[in-house]
Amino acid sequence: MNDRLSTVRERIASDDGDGRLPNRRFVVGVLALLVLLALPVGTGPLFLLKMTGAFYFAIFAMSWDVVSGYTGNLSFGHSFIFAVGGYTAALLTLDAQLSPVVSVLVGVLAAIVAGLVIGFPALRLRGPYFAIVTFLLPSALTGLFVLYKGTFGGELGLPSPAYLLDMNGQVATITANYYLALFVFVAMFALLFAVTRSRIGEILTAIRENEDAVASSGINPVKYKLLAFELSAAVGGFGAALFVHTPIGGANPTQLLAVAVSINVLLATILGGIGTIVGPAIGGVVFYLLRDSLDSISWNIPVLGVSFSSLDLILFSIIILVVIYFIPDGIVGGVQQTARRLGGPDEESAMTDGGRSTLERILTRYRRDLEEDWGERNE
Amino acid sequence: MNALILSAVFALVSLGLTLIFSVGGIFNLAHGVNVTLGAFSAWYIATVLGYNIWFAAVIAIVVPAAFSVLLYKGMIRRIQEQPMTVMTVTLLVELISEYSIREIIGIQSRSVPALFGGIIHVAGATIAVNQAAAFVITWALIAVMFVVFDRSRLGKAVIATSMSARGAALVGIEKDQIQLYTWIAAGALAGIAGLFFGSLRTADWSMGMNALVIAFPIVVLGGMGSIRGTLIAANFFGFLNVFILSYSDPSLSKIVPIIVLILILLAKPQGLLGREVGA
Amino acid sequence: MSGMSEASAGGTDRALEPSDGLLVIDRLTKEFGGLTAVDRLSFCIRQQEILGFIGPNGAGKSTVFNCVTGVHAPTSGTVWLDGQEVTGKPPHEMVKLGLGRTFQNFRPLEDRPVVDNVKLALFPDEILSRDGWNRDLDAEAVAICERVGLGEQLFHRPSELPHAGLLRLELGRALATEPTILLIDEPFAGLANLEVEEISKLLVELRDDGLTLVIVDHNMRGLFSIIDRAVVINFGSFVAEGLPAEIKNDPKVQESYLGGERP
Repeated sequence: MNDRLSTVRERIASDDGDGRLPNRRFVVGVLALLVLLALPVGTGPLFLLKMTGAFYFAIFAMSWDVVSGYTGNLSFGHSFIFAVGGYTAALLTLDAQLSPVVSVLVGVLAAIVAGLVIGFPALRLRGPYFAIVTFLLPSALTGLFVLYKGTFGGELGLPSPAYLLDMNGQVATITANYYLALFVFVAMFALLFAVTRSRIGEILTAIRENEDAVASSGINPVKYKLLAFELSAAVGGFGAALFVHTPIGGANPTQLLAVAVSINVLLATILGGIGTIVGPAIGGVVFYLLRDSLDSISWNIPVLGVSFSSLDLILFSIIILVVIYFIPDGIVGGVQQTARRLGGPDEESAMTDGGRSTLERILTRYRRDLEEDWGERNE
Repeated sequence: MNALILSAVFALVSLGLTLIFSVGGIFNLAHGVNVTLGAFSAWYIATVLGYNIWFAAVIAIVVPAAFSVLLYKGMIRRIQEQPMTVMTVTLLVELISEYSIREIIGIQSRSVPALFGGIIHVAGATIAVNQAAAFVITWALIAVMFVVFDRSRLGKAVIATSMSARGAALVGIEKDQIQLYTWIAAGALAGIAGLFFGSLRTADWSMGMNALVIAFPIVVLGGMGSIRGTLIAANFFGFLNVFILSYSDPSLSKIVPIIVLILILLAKPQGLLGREVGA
Repeated sequence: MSGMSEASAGGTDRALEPSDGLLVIDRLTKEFGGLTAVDRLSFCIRQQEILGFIGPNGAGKSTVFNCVTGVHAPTSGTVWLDGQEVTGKPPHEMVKLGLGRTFQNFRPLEDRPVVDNVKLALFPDEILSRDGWNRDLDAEAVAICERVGLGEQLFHRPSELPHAGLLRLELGRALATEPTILLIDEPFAGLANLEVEEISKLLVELRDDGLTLVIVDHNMRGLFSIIDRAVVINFGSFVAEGLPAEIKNDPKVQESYLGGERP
């Protein structure tokens, strides 16, 4: 028994990076952080602005991953949370003249409440139903914002509230906001990483894998699913509340509420590696920068005599569509291997895995849920 | 009367959705595109190119149907085993089409010319002939759908496939073919709905999403895969919609269906007439 | 005690009381739509016995199981565990109260090895508990795995285990929840004779260590040698109850099986 026990303890120790040789992934992470910290030295304010946006988007993606990647219920309307957090904060700063710091805190609270709104119905709905309900929620909110255009600014959104950090001069402000975004990004990453690698994370992934098995182990799945929702709402809302108080963000449907936002966090996370936190962190930044880079390509199609300003969005979506369609597991698998090597939870078990990625598990469980509810449908 | 027309138009959109789910087990989030295509192709043919409105109407049916066929054969068929992937992909398609329409047409709403002009007097009320025609045509279509499913071989084949693809195959019904038919039907019906939306109200770039926002609650509420349920739910929401419109702001109509849906799902996760989830 | 023989009578003779046994089921009824799957079933399970719960396929055994363990809420009837009423409580609560169960169609967590499967069942259901003390749980998990005979397969994935191994894993996970009574759903299905012997031995050992066991099966082949008592049901209703030898010769029981084993 004892040498078996010590084998088990060894496994865990190597997982924790327990002070022996620094983990390879840890080293890479530190290096990346150093580069990011030094970034303002080598690049101009425009790029810093983009990175700021990328960091906040990555925070959104990570918050999505907590719910969708870890409970296995894919949310198709997470922009609902971001909008609640962002708009609340912006409104408080603008109309109630509260200090941005206070507004942000209240924004987070509002998002947590919104998380309960999604959370409670979600706990009773199976995956596909959950997907549809979450898909519809942002439209409802948009409708509300248009209805009360005076308060919420309708389709154009609200004017920009005061920045959290406003220095003398544009470059200084941008740089300061960059560091703020970096700091929050790292902090949120650390928080979510810690939670998902803890016992709670083990329970969440177990729920994702097989909820009945968890219940029969004497653990109440509802409690933990709710925790995942609230954590997601808090992080997402926090990110959004901060975001609207920066030069690059504002409380408007395009940046916080559109279908595009919801699906972009989904795509970025899937492409980066769902269910890892590291995946959306890296995938979020990369996805955002990629999409942004297409912007700089301006096209002019003579046939229709119209200059396509949204062509970049269309192009980008088509590219992503092709990627997702032709190699839904291929690229994901490849990137996931990379993400795993950089810090996934089931790293060493990849060998005896049988090769089933997290995404595959989630997809399979969806099919199983659907089939259980609706009877045999496919061969 | 208005409510009845609206209900029927909602029903046309929702029936397509429910059919596709029923037979294929997947949610087509690009279904809204059919509505938009129907409305805008009719508008383009009739208003921009100036052709006869009836010709435009035919185009309004053909274009979305063709689009649906392309979508199904080109993309969905290969990934239909993975419902979530289908949802993601179709959502992307929806998004792309929204961007495209916004680019090409702009954000103004357009109007589709009426099929019929003039007014008539019915039971003491004065209504536009177009409205009356819409009423007759849409409900006739629904009745036809009912008959098709109840009586015709094709209809029975669809029902058989929806219950058990393997069983249906045993009696020589090919699931792929049946699916193709449902996608065509869904596209055509939604196109007609778009045509009527466009002429009775207006057509704009967001009408696809708006259609989904109503259609999904209808389908889920009526019970995924239940045609009868869908019709009942469509009527419910149609009347609700008119009620809201007469007493308050149109924007409210986007919010209410979802709230109603959530409330009902909380109470009854299978919808109103959903299949019983057995032991 | 004259009360004993009455207490062990099942069926619809008289209303049972909480004190009649460790687990007491009184007039349990479950209806699905128009179908009555379980019909006023009453029986009790006594401390530290091994009870065989038997019936042909479709008799409703799984439904009874599910109603008792909280998967379904019964339409009517009462369930008492150790004197406390527990009717309709959700599964995780039943487990915490000491009612463990295994699943016939094995539901392990495929995404982690055997030892982690068991370890999960050891977790306390508290979010804000003292986290990080994985060490203790490791020792316990390894011990349990060895107890059920999986000492050599600690790091195997469930998909790599043979049928008997999966059963052992189910038992291990159930044991980790520290049950006072364990409901085991059709353990011998798909096992070779040798494996049946080994598992039987394990079950008896568990009982001797203090556990009460209820074993469900559709025939008595595997159970005969280890059960103390048997309850037979068919069509959701009570058929007979008594010692194995009695049951075997009971004409009502034989009738249920139409003179032979059902597939």
